[in-house]
Amino acid sequence: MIDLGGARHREAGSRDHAPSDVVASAGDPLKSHRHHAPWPYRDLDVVAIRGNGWRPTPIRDLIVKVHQRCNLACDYCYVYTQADQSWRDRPKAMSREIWLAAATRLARHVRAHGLTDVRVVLHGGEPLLFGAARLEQLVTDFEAALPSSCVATFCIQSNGVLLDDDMLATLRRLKVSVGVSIDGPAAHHDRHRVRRDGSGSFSAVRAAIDRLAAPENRASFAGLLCTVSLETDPVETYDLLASFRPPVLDFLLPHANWQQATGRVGETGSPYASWLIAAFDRWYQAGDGIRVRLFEDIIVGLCGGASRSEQVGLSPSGVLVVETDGAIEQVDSLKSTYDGACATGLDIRDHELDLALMNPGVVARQIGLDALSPECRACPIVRVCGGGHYAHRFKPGHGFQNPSVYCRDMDRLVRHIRDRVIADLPKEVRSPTHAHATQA
Amino acid sequence: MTAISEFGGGGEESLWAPLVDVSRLSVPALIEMQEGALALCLQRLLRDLDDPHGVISGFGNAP
Repeated sequence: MIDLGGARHREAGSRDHAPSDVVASAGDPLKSHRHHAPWPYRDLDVVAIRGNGWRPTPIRDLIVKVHQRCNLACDYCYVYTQADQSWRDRPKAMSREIWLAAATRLARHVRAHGLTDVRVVLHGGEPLLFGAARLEQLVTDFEAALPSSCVATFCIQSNGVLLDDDMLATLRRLKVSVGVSIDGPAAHHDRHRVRRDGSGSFSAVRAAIDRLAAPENRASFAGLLCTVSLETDPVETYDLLASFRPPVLDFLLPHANWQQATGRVGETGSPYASWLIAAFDRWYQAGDGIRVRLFEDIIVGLCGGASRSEQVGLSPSGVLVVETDGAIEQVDSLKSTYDGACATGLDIRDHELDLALMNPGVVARQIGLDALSPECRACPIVRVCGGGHYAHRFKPGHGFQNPSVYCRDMDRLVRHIRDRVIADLPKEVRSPTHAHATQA
Repeated sequence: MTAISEFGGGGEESLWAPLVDVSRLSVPALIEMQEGALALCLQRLLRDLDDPHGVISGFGNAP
């Protein structure tokens, strides 16, 4: 137990609820889920799945929403501009009571499952609004709570604007690695990732990335995230991001679904595939040692391995979120689908993380092929594509058991990457099936 | 990790069987490929043998 001095503290476990209490009290969240997403909330039989021997994957990433607000007003942000508006009713910043409860529950989860490594992701809103002092206290409290048998990695995903030398020094000292979001060339970035007064943020973001890339900070540089836009040139965008020499970068398809398409999603053709293929070819040809997670996941999938990200593959999701008010929620990309889409009805002060693993929405993201539509299961590239990002499959009134709204793009991208890879794979490492293959 | 035997022989399914036989993936073979994008991916494939089912990370920049 961590001493809070004079602060009020509710010992974790004192309000523990049994699973039946959770179901009985879930009330509104479940009603909303069943209305918007019959699959999985009405039609996925979790009890039957467990009866057949399936067991959940323990949590490996706990996303801690330390601050609910943001100093930018990006026009496509899934937290503020899309279907879910729950941020309005939540405290701006997480209290120590909440993060201590999160640390305690995570520690119990680690012990219960014998986990040897977990990741604590500090998130928001903009997590740097939390301030260096509170970030330091939070990291210290989590480290104190977790058993020494488990390696805890701390990361922060930031817009970079507040990442000055002092903040970076604190994060470096705490061994918190930093990922930064940047959407490509300055003109495009500044059209969409704007401050509240409408001015662009690129110059501040660039300065932050330059700081991270400096030799003394390099170990703290986690990488870059870029949301794909058809307004930008993919080669120019890749070259700009690569110029920062990030250890990893990822291209994210903008969140869209069958109700709410963005850009030219859903039109005839596959414009996002064209963009990603051009970026892939640039990256593949460059051989510059920079890892691009989406492309790497696809290549690894083609070679028989497992994905590590949400965008492709059939790997189980080991991620839960704790909001500033203590709510245990699903990954917040679901905020792009419907209001309350992330809700589990659980509170970190009252419930073990294992209870969230019984939630149909969480289960749906851990059962691989069984979560997919018949069309996806029949598709020859399913083990690589994995049905695409879960949030992109949403269709109102049906739920999440549909192909991705980016299906055509994913198909073309995966086939293109396969053709490039198979041409380059040395014959001595190929599987016998492909010993003499050139291209599909 | 998907086994080659899970895919039928012939037809489009066999085209999408795993491209690599992991038992043939050796350090010398990887060294031969130098440090291109494909080589980095195959190195990850080898490292992932310890955790073949993978687990999705919520951190966009997680390795």
